[in-house]
Amino acid sequence: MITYKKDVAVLGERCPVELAEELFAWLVGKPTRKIDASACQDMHTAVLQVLLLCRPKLIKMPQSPLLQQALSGLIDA
Amino acid sequence: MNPLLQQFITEARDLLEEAANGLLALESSPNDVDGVNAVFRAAHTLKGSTGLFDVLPMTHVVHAAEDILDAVKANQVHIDSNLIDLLLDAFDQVGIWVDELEAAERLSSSAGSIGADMSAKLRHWLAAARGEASGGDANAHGHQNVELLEQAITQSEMRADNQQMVDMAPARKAIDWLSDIPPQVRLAAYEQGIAGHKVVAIAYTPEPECYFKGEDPLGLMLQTPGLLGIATRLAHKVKVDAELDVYQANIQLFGVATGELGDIEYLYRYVSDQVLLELPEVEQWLIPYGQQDDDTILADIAEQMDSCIQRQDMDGLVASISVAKDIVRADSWAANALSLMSLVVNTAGNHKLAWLKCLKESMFSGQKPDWLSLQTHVKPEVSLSLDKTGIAELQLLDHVDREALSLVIGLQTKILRLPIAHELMLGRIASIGKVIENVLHRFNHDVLLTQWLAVVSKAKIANNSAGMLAWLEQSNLALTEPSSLSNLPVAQEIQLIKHDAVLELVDVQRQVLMQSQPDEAIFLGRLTSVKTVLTSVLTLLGRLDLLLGLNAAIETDILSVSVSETLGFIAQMSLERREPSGASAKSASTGKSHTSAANGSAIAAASSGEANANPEAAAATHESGGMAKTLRVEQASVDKLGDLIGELVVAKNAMPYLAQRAEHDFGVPELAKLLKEQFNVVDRLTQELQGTIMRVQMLPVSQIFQRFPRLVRDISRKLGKKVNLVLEGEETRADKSVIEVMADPMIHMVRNSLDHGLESPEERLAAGKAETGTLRLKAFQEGDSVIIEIQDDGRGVNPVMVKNKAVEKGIITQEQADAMSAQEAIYLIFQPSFSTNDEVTDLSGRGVGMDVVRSTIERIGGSLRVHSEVGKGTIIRLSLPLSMAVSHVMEIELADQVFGVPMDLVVETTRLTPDLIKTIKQRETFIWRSRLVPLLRLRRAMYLPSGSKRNDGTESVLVVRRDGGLIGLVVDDFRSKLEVIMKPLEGPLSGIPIYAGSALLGDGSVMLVLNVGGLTL
Repeated sequence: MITYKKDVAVLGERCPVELAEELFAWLVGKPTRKIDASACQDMHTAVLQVLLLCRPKLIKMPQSPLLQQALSGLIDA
Repeated sequence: MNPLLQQFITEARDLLEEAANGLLALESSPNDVDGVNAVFRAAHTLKGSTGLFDVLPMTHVVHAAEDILDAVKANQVHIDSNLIDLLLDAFDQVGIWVDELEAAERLSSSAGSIGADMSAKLRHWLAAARGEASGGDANAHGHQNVELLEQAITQSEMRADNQQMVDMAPARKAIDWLSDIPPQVRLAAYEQGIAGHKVVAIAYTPEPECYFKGEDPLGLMLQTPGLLGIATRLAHKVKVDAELDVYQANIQLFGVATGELGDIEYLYRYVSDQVLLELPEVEQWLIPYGQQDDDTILADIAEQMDSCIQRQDMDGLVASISVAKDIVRADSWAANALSLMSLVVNTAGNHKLAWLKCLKESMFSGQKPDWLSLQTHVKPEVSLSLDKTGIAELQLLDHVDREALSLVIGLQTKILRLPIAHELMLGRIASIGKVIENVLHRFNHDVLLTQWLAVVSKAKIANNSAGMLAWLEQSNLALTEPSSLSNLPVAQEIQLIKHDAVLELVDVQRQVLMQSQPDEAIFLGRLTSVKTVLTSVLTLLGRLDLLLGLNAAIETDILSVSVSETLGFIAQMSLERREPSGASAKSASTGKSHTSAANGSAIAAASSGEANANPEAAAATHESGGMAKTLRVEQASVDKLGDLIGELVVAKNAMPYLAQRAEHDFGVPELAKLLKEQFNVVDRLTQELQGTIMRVQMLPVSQIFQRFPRLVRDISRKLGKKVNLVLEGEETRADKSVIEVMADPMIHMVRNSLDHGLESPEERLAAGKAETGTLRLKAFQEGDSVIIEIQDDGRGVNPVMVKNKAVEKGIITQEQADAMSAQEAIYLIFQPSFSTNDEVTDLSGRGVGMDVVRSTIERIGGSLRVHSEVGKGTIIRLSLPLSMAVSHVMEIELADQVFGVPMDLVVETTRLTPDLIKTIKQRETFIWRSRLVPLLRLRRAMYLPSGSKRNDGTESVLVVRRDGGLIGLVVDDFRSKLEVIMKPLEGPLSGIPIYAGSALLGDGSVMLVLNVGGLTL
């Protein structure tokens, strides 16, 4: 479940594969939009891939260290 | 249900039965080598097939059983009744699982624990038995290797040990993604490595379609045992716009874990082709990160450190490091490198100096440490690689050939990567060498061919395939280089040429097999390679239906150390192919050998989906190939067909009546004549139809008999009796419905013979008989009947005892008993609620059995006779109709109604004058061929109004068999013999004992057929 605010998408606890498409549609071509992943505990690979493709700014990282590592490619840039 | 599973279920049942029969045979002749082999083969094949499905408990149990059998084969343990009990139990359990699979397509939740118990029991037994006997021998060892191979290939159990992994790995290479792993994870990995733990580097590149298969690669990776950390990145750059399909996986996942390699491999078993597991050297984890500082500051320090390292002055070095740390920017590349150097100083042992040097270089240059330069000493020396000429030759190929070659090479590379036992390596090298050699030869690649042969011979000498693998990988790289594929060929053409390559492969496999036979190890490696190639080919073509066949063929060959089955299978594959369609012109024009050209078209057709999508085409293939010799049809449809034919016979019989009416009622004799002529034609056809369907519905008696060896064994062991079971005439055939109905009565009778008939060994010895009793089941055909005899040489039925018992139970009166002959008394055992044995066992003696047996047999129109001699034994003789479809009855007339009497009971028709009828003890009797025969007036017995049709005072009497004796039935008149389709009575009518069933006559009327045994005297 993802809640879309004005320019921040708040990722829910679980982000299953179906959400990849809508997240991509929301992010694509809008480089200012950001992600709040603090609540996310379980992210499907397809959702992760969308984030890697669109490279939005992550305003809050997930709690899980492993998820943080999965997203670390987004921070270095 | 998935057809593959369906097929597995059928085959598993056959194999289990084979195994059980074999075990029983072994009990009587434990030293029969062929017998052991047969059981082993069944278990082995079964185990192989289970690997295709998610039925691990089954695989484990069969595997454990197989190991025991293997030990028996190798003479390490000896077979005895206890072992046979154990193995039968195991196979029974597998049988239960097969039933579960059939019902629910999966095993029940308890299967895991049951399977674990069962296999533990088997393994425990084997360990104990081995402890008694002496240790293993070379033969068993060889076999275990075959197994090892197979497990890897079926992926049913991935337990390849690290040693193998390393053997398989090509020359160690840089792992470029290690720097993507977060620094703290790298440090943790280094610490684990220094502490002596294995650290596994996992690179997982999911295939693009993986999301559609419901896979979640990240989720999978997070489950990795001992996961230290992960990293991700896009697999390749793409243009990000709204058109992009986000469900095409384009991601790479990397993981670092300290778990057991085997466990990790197991986790990734379903995506093993997308995952690369490596064991990096511990220093490879040492990679600095951060921004590079101004190198002018560093130059001085670097020089200072150099000298310290040269002098092995650790204290000096530590001092320099701490000085340097103050100078460089915190969190810069150099600062990190310095921290790593401190770490190395404190932790590393022998390699310390080399590592420090390397890190110092890295600190200074800002480049990743060049760890590879340190590793030359551990690199395998096999490095005959593809040179420029070779690459040029590859690049010269047109895209079509390139595609083909790449496919072949890809497959062979895959095979090479599979774990393999050391002893079998040579076989695999030889086999793959030959495959590639032949392909290159066909493509006229002389330069490549020479190179390849050199690579192969080097690999043979070293017994190490790393060089081959490297060569193949390079070639494949050269072939698939993206730049050269820019002018993509039409998709169809690629497809086509793929098929051509596939054919090439199949053909090459054939050639490999036909080479002279090397020693066993090489041979096994060869067969396994062929198996893998053909499995891939079949999977590629979507011909999963052929997989089991292939598996079975190869299994058989592995066991018999021959190639005939597999060659047969390949030949059969070729047979299935069809004439080329227009699209295959290309494959013909490339000038391939005759075989491959013909094959090419067929595969093209098959995999382009035509054959699959078009069942008619598939059927045509079968016909033209002459493959389908037998056809499995659902029983219900054959039954339905039989019923319809039965109806047709009845409908046909109406035609003569119609003809009569045409002549008499409507006055058109011409039409009547035409109808009669037509009737003759239809009559002939229906008769043929009936005969055909009857033959279709016939089953061999062995269907009943085959269960007896097990039953007899179990019961006799339970009763402590020694029994030799003899089966005769198992191939005798009878109608399916007869066979089905007879199974239960037969079991009753066999149990009775074992329980009551045969004596205990002591009793037998005391009676001067052989200790072991004989139970003989015999089937043969006699006229229109099937005769089944159950013969034992036991104590026989004692008529006096039977009479006493019957009187005691109130079945007959003492007077009746006195009047009975010995033969008649024996039939008392078929009375309801008669049991001669005081002790009720769980086998028989509950007084339900024999009367049910008799009524069942009579219901299907059979009869039963018993001959017994006290002290010598008993013969029960069942006479059953060949077919229940058509019964012969004699029509009789009774009070203006027509009834039928089963023809096989009729002995004679006769007329009696009143003076011949004598009344003895209130019973009417007559003498027939000097035998006293009781007379039964059917009108009275059936509560019909009394009277007689005849006015000359004579009586029409039908002499019929009943209970081994004869009785005379007084009827009004006899009519002709008739063939009818008899149907059993249903509903409330089925409880009326005097009728066996009903039949529809040609004029539409119903005839009731009498059950002579059901008439009360």
